[in-house]
Amino acid sequence: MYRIELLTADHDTHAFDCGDDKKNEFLIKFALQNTKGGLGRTFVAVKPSEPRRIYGYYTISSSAVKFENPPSSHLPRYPLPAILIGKLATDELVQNQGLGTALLFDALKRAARVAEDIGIFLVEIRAVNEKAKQIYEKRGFTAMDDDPMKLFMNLKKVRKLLSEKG
Amino acid sequence: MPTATLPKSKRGNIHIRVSEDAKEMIEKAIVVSGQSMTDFATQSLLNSAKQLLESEYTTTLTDRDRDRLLKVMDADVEPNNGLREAAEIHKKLVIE
Repeated sequence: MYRIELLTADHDTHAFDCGDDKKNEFLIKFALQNTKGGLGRTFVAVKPSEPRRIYGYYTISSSAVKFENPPSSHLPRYPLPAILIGKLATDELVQNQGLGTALLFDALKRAARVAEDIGIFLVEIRAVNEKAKQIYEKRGFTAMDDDPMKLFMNLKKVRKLLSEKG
Repeated sequence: MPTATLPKSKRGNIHIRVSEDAKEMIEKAIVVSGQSMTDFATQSLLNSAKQLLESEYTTTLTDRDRDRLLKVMDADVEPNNGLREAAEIHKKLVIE
């Protein structure tokens, strides 16, 4: 079992290895700075028995969706606010054991909570490759046609699911 | 953005090391631009920073993608099995 919590200076960012140097480096060098700079937040998965060891992480921030041409219909012309799940990674030691999926759902749950309060309806995620894209589609994201590595989900879905569970 | 007029306490310093070749080219550009090194460097770095932040935190959609997204917002509200399964996995693995 894992606890998912906000990254702080107490976590050991160096032991984490997801097999992708860029994502490892992000955690070590930039994740805390992003939080301090108000650019978004990083949440990490730890085990209660090893509270400093990071087994996975995700970042979440606000983003804006613009249109090359504004919609003709009922929507406003200014950009749509969205919540961006920016990065998601799990340590090689625990890959393919469900932690990635749990982190994704945790991010969605968190997004749904915030969205409720401030009126955001969309979550955006960007796939790094075809495999990631298919995983996100399986979980209910919709890929765009012209930019298929960009995927969105309506947060109502998540809220509905959470309310069913009471 | 000129910095000379800012009070000392409001200024930040950035020191960078560059190769001889790079420095030569930058100095040429400064002569052409008529700016000071500080103003030129500040402006160039700010432009790149803005561009990067813009691309990181905004998404621009084509007409086709815009219409697809509007459909998602209007009609795609039922949780699918994959999402339900993700919720189950979360419940099993994460201590609330």
